[in-house]
Formats: sequence, C-alpha cells, structure tokens
Amino acid sequence: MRIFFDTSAVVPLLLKEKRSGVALECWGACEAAWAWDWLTIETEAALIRQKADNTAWAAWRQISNAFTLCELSATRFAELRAFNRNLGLRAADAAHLFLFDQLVTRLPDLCLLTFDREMAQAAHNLVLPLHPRTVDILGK
Amino acid sequence: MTKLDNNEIQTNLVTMKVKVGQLKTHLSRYLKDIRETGEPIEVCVREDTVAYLTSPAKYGAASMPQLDPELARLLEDDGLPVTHWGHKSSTLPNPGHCVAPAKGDNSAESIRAEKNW
Repeated sequence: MRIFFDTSAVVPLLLKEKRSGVALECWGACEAAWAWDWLTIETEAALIRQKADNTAWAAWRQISNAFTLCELSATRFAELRAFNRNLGLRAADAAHLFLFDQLVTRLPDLCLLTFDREMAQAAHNLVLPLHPRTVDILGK
Repeated sequence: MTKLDNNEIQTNLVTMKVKVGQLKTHLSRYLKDIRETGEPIEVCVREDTVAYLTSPAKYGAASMPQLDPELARLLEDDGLPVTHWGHKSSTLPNPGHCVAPAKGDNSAESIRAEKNW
C-alpha cells in the first residue's frame, strides 16, 4: 500500500499518543510513504515544541529517510489558493491536501492517512481516496 | 550507540555522531543501522568530525536510486518535483515521550489548532 502521510499521522510514530498503535500498524503495512516535504519541518517543530526525548528523535532519524518527498512549486500556488477557497483549511493543511489531490492523478493507488479530523473531512468531501484508518476518525 | 546531548541532536538532526572507540567496538551494529535506516553516521575524534559512514544510496547523486524516472519526470512537469526518494525499511520506530505534551489525543492536530490560519 502506498500512503500519503499528513504530519498528524507521523508524530504518533515518534511520540506515544492515543493513536500510536494505529500509526505503527499503518507504517508497518505501508510499502511506500509519500509526503509534502514541509512535513519534515512540521514534524521537527512538533518534537521541539513538546520537548521530545532522545527516543523520539531517534525514531525520527530512523523513519525520516523513508519518505518520498515532493516539493510544491510556487507555480502551483494560485491553484492551491483556489482549491482552499471552498475548503477553508489552515494554510499548511490545505497544501498537504492539495499536493495529495494532485499526486493521486499520477498515483491512483495512493491513499491519505491523517488523524486530523478537519483534513479528513475535507478529503472525504472531495471524494479523495482515504486510508481505512482515516475513515475511522470521521465517525468519532 | 553514543548520543550527544539533546541540543546537539536537535541542531544536527539527521546525523548520528559516534566516537572512534565506539565505532570500533560496535561496527557491526552501526553498519546494520545504516543498512536499515539509510542514515549516515558522523565519525568523531574527540569533538572533531573526521569522516562520514554512509550508505551507497547516499554516497552521491549518481548512485541515488531513482525509483521511477518516468514518474519523477511527470511530477517535475506537474510542478511537484520529488526532492527525496524514500527507502522504506521494515523496522518499526519506537515512539518516545515528551516533557511538554500538547493537549488532546493528537499533538499535531492540537498544535495546528493553536494557529487559526
């Protein structure tokens, strides 16, 4: 399974949280992990702001190289702004979802893994392919 | 594996620093780590970095695996260039703890919620 990761599904891989077990299960079953390259900045900010311990940083070093990362070129910003006019997501969240929406046209088997309810709902409304664990949080 | 203090790790996130003595003693283990994670190791004599131990995939651009050159070209044309090809290992990470946890079930979601734009 090819999975597009949102940061909300990566941080539980590094810090013990309610969904760490689910996140680890998804990670174990994942054949290829895709993400927007800004995910690395967000993930490290989450670790820094929460004063993560060395174990969490070691876990990040272990998995950070596993992601295939895409850049979002400035040439696509106008489309991203238009994309978000109806969604009303926060800036970075809109960019994660926009990139996923675009990648799916090239990688039809890619599915979104997010534990952010707002992003999951927006993706659901757009009828984008969701990982089953993303679907789970929509009902909660 | 010898770890430097938290500040050094945080300012140099992708490189594990190892002293020569420890490298000699635990070489097999370090090589196993490199093979599984793809992460390089910085070899130090006292505080000076003298070498990097790295995987073939990281040795140079020419040897970086291009998993799918056609896909890479299409994404480049789409304005979504791949900046790094991942090397997924089967090893599961071991989540750690934090001193200042964010509120809620999911810290990334909570941190996002603090910033309403």
